[in-house]
Order: sequence, then structure tokens, then C-alpha cells
Amino acid sequence: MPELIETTVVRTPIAGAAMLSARDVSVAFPAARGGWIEVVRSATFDLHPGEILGLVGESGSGKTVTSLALMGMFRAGSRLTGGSIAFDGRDVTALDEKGWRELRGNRIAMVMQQPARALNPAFTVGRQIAEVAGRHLGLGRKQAWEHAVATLDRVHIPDARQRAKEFPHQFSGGMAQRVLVAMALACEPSVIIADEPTTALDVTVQAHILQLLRELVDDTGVSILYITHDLAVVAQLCERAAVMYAGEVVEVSDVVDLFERPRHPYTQGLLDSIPVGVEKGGRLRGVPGQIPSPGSMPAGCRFHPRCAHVLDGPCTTTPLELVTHDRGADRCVRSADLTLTGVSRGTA
Amino acid sequence: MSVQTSSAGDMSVGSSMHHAGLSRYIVIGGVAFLLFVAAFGPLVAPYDPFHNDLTVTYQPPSSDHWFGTDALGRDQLSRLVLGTRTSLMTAFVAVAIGLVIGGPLGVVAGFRRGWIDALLSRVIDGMLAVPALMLALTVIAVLGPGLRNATIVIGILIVPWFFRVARAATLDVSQETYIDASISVGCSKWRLLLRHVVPNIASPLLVQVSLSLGLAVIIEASLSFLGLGVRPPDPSWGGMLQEAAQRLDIGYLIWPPGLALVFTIGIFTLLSDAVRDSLGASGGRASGA
Amino acid sequence: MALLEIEGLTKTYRRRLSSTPTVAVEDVSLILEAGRTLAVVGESGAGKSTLGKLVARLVEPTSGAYRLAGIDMLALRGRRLRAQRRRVQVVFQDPYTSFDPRMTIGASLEEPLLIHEELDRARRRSRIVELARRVGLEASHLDRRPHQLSGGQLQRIAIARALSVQPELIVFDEPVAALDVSIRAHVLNLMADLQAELGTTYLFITHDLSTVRVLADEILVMRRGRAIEHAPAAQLFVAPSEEYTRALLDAVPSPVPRTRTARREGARLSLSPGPRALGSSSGLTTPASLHKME
Repeated sequence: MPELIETTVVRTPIAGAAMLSARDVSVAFPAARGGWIEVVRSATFDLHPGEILGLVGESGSGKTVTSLALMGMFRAGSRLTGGSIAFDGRDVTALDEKGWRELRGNRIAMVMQQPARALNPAFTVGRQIAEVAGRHLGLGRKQAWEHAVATLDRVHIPDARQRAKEFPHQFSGGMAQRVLVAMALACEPSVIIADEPTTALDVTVQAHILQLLRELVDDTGVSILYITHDLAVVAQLCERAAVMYAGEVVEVSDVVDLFERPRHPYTQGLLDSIPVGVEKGGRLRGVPGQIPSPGSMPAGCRFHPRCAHVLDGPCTTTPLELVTHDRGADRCVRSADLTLTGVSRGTA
Repeated sequence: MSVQTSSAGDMSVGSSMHHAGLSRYIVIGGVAFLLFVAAFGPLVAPYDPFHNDLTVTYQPPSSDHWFGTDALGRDQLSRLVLGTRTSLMTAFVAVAIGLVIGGPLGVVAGFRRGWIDALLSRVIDGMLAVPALMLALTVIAVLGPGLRNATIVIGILIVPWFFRVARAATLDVSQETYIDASISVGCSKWRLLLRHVVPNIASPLLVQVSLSLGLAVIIEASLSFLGLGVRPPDPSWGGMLQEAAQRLDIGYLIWPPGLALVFTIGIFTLLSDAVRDSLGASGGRASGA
Repeated sequence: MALLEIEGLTKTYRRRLSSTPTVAVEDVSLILEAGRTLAVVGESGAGKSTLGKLVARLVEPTSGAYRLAGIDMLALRGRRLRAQRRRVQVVFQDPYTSFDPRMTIGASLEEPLLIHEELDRARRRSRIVELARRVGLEASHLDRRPHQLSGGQLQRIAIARALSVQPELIVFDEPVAALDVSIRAHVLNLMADLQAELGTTYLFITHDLSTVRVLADEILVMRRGRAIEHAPAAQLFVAPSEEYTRALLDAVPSPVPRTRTARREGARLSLSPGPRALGSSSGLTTPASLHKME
């Protein structure tokens, strides 16, 4: 078996500073009849070096749009209407496309939801990885190929050398997702943005992918922004989490705090929705009402029509701001006086 | 992944909508104009299109004859106007033939699958394998020339396209969950077809109708050019082009029918784009961000 | 007499260009009493959706027997089959594609009534208004098109449509998988309430073990077309007898965060709440509660 040529690239993170940082990021889409519809409003959170930050939200939360904005990707005519983005201490808000191309795939990489659609069916997986690595790391063809094989090996694809010569359709869902992770890893990025990478996978396969991600962070210190709607995954994988609702970040917190003592009623609602310990004959809890659509947001707190603790006046008139405190941040005027109970412990 | 409706805000691509507005007006105007000329033109035309006046042959455009006269002294404008009616009516009838024959056959093939589909598809494939003009000439040779037969031939030529579109759309719709839902609720095959399949394949069929109109116009013009469609002395754009081709030194003979053809086909093409755009944009849903 | 009896049900697909047939469901047998819920769980490719379609007679089995309240469902054809279809109804995974996009909700709800009952227009209308209210919607929703309602609302209408002909068995194929997590409870609670009220038997197909407990009396675990284990729900979660079932249960992430100490020490992810992941500070106590996780 030929020696794998090592091509690790060493990057020294700036200690303490956030790896990726969003401040008041707002994104709007063009409306059918002219004008703009704001889909993300004033999103603020930091991703620290070597940590896994969960970005939690349901549909309409704006989590995918936000994550794309953090890579300078604006689809369907959308644009950044406010705020700033910083990567590794550098302000990238006004970065042009050329600048972003240097970063994408190289320093910041994305792992998407459906591997079958993210991989090009016409090329072997080895070729696809080698191409990305070759372009950004300046490797020659043979070196790039070896690097691709080594990366596939790193994500625990058995028989990597042989499998590198295979096409995407020859991989099962879980294996294909590993290939996507490998592609993201190829240039040793500082940040990986994973957009619901395991949502479409079986639970046993998901378990392995989560384990893999944890391992990568422990081994290489890469930072991961993990987007999901599944709080149980957040509990197992993430150190901190940012919760989004209807286009706004409503809470940012350490995960243990989030689960034991959340500060926003929507977070509590999400925790309540986890069907822990409810048996036949019991009631599941959810959040009453519906997620508002971008064109018709409630006045004041966007969650207030569905909130059990709503106060007429403070919650229903002016839009709320994200308030930072020593343990994180939240967007609830009542967070100081409410004591939310956190995730239930399995009592029926 | 959850999907959320956004009834108040529509996240479609903003910029292309403005562009669509202008071409929509052009299409509506153009089609209205053509229909008007075809319907009322011959009534207000200055001369009888068939009237020969050998004293004024090959007259260039003047205040008497806006588009000049041809070899037999006939007013070009009046002939052009009557030719509009001929072209449009032929196109409509031919497309109707194509739709009425090709559509249902396509639905049956797509819905029943199996040997019916195999048989019909092979026949249609056979028709498509023969070059259109050859097929047309062969059928005309059998039926004889003339506008009526030409219209039938054009209709036959268009049948395969409607078959294909209807079949593909039916196949698509048959895979949809709501078909399964209707079956499980107890729908009979007929009810499924009429209430669920046909309304949902109407859009692609409409697009095909608008596409076929332009096609029909040009095939009719070609056949008339060859003398196999509209026969003299009946005026038609193809026929006028044929006569103009014999005197290429005279510019004003060839421009009117030529431009009329280009304009008409252009309008029908824009129409098919507009139909496709407006049908595609309606009833869509926005996905969660 | 049991409501649902299946013996040796098998479905094989034969691809034209391939010599090896795909076995979607292989030799599945089960008996289900009326009024109970059987959850069919498994991963992708397990054959659970195919099983649901076989029971709903949307797909013909290659072999096997299937009886509903004693009637041989496989022997039915044509008009008799259509008439018997009212006894087994289906709620599909994606609410948006399970309704004809060109019809209003009311028209879709009316269809089963038009087919199976002889009611005049006014009576039909009042029936569907009542059905809509039963599932928590208003009469005004009936005049809308599918894309104008939310996923949760549409799925409730799908349940209403299933109920409209008073079926004995409803097959739910991943009914909440396509819905937001915070509104899944609404649909699941509705299903539970309706069952308590009407005594309808449910076949609940899902890959999500955590949502199963609130409804399931029995659980059938499938893998690659075969039935691996069939047990009462409570028993399966506490003491599964099959290796595969155990692996499935273990793989579900526990909604209890790893403690800070566990993280700092680089402890491996605990996807089942083993003692290391919980630590002493998280408040969970006895080993018995460890197995109570979904």
C-alpha cells in the first residue's frame, strides 16, 4: 500500500476571538410585487474556535438564509440589508465575490442536507475532492488525489483508496454524507457550516455522523455551526446554541443552561415539544398557533401570539432587541422575571 | 424538512416579473391585432383580392395601393389581409385536430401504461421519425392538394407533439400522492381521469397549444409556397411568396408576406412564452428559509 | 375476531433490466385487534411504507393473505373493492402533495362522500363543516386551496378526510415527519383523541421512535422487508429482545445535554443516556429511567 502523502495545513486560530461572528445581520428577498421582504432580522451570534454551535429553528426561522449569508451566498436576488459579518477577526461584510471564492471551500466550508443533490453525479468522489483541494491548496494532480484519499479515510470510509474512484450514486445515504464532510474538510477549513446534515438520514447513520463531527472537532479544533431543528441532537453535539424564530435570534446560551433554564418562552416551547416519557394516554405538548409568515409579522415580540407569558404592552407594541447578559443573550422582556422549567425529565 | 406557506409574501425572483409585464402587453396587442385583421380585414379591404386589373400590374406602393400590385394587378394589401384569415384559421383548426386526437391518446398511454402505451408510443415515434415535409407531401399525394387537406395534414403532423406532452404530463401526475389518496378513498378510474388527471395536465397542454400555433402557420405557408396548400387564385402568404420569388428584382412583392409571417410567428412564440410563464408562476409554494 | 390479519405478506419488485428482484416486504404476518394502534418502525428500506400501501390496497402483494374483519381483501375487485376501500383509509406523509392542488379543501373533503354516500349538497356541506371543526379548523378553511394552509392544518384535514367515511382502520404513513416539531403535538394529540372517541384502529408507520410512545399499543420493528420484532410498546422500550431493536433505541439522541465536565474530558458522544454522559449534576437518577428514553 503506497504511503499516503501528508498534506496537513496548520492554521493558528486567534485565541479568544470568535471564528465567525454575525452582528445584526439582516437579509431581505425581493417581493413579487416590488419592494423587499425581510426574512432575517438582526441576527447576532458568535462561533468560537473549536466549538460546535447549534443554530436551532423550525421552518421560517431564517436559519438557512442566515448561514448562507455567513458565506456570502445570497440566492434568488436576496441581499444583506444590515449588520456585519466577521471571519477570523476580519470584516467580510463588504467582501466581493472574488474574495468570497477564496474563502469558500478553503477556510469556510459547507455540508448540506441531501448528499445526493450536492455531489456531482458525473464525477468520481475522489475527483471532486481533489479538485477542491488542488485549487485552494495549490496541489498537483497526484498530490491532490492522495490528499483526497487521505481525507476520505479520515471520515472513516472503509477502503478509501478504492472508493475514491467510485461515483456518488454508488454510495449509500450515510456514506455519501461522509463524502460531503470529507469535501468540506479537504482544505482544513477553520469553520464548517453544516445545514441539517443528518435530517434525511436514518437514526443509526445519524449517530455515526454526529460521532464523526465530534471527533473532528476534538482532533483538529475546527469550529462547526450546526443547523438543525432537533434539540436532542443539539444536546448531544453542541456546546452552545442559538435559537431562531421567525427570522430573529431569540436566545443564545450554553447548551446545559438552555436545557435546564431557558430564557425565552419559544425555547421552552421547543423543549416541551420533545416527547420525553409520554406514554399512551398522555398528552404531548407543543406550541399553540402558527409560525408567522414574513409578510405579516405580529407587532412587538414576534412570538407573543403564541406565548403563555405574554404581557399586553411590553410584549405587543415595539419590536424587541436581543439583550446580552453574562450567560448569553435573549430577546424577551420578561426573561428576568420568568423562571422557565427547561426540558422535562421523563415524568409522565 | 418542514415546508411553510407564505401567503402574504411571495419569494419569487423579483426582477424577471417586470420584464414579463412588457412582453405580456406586446403579446396581447399582437394577438388582438391579428385576430382583428383576420376577422374584419376582408370587410374593410380596399379592393377585391381576386380582381385582376392588367392595366396596373407590378405597381410599386402608392396611395392607391399601399403595398403595390402583383403580376395580375391585384392589390397586395387586400390579398395580404385575406391571407391572414386563411393562415389563422388553418392554424387554429390544425392545432385543434392535433389536440383532440393527440391529447386523449397521450392520456390513455400515460395512464394505462403497459401494451397500450408501448403500441401508441411506437406509432407516434414512427410518425416523428419521418421528416415533417416528407410526411406532408406523402399525405397530400394521397389526398390531393387544397386547403382542406393541407389543414388535415398539418393537424396530423401536430398530433405527436400533443401525444408526447399529454403522456408525459399524465405520467407525472399519476405519480403524485393525491392520486393515491383518491384511489384509497375509492375513486373509480374514470373519476380519477376526469376530475384529477385532466385538470392537472391542462397547463402543459395549453403551452403546447400556443407553441403549435406558430408551427402550424409556417407549415401552412410552406405547403402553400409549394402549391400544395392554398391553391391559386386564393390568396395566402405562402402563395404570395411563391409569386414574389419569381420576380426577386421587385422588392415590394416579397416584403409584405415575408414580414407578415415573421410577425405572426413571432407573436405566437411570445404567446407560448407568456402562457408558460403565467401558468408556471401560479399555485406555487414557498419553502421554509 | 381480530380486525386485521396478515399472513406471509410479500411484495417483490422486478426491475426489467435487472435479474435480481427487489424484496420490499418479505413474509410479514401479524394480527391486530380493533381499537389498538400498531406502530411500524424501522429505517429507510425497511419496507414499512410498502406494508402500509399493501394494507391500503394501493399496491398488489406478490403473495400472502390479508383479511379485514374476516373479509379477504385480496379477493376484491372493481366495484366491490372500491366499496370496501372505505374501511381502510390513509393519511400520507406530505400534506401538500396529498391533495389535488386544483381543488379546494372542501371539494377534496367532499369526494369520499360523493363516492360512498347518497347525500344531497346541503347535507354534504354540513358534514364536511362538522369534520373540519372536529379536527380544529373553521368552515372558512374549506374554501381555500391546499397551498394556502399550513402543513399542520393540512394534515388535520387529511385526517378529517380519512374519517369522513368512518373507516375501521387508518394507515398513517409518517404523519408528522414533514411538520415542524412544535406543531407535531397538535396532530398526534388529535389522533389520540379521535381514537379514544371513535375506537378506530391505527397502523402508524414512522422512523421516529420518539413520537411513537404516545400512541402505540404494539410495535413492529422492520428491517429490509422482514419483521424483526413485534411486542407491546412498553415492553419493547424497556427490554427489547432483538439486537437490532436495541441498536435502534440506542441510536436515538437523548435530549439531555452532556455535562461540562464530560465535554472537557472529551468523552465520546453518548447517544444513549449512559452514566458517563449524565454525570451527577444533571438530575437524572435511577437506571430504570435510563431506559425510559425514546
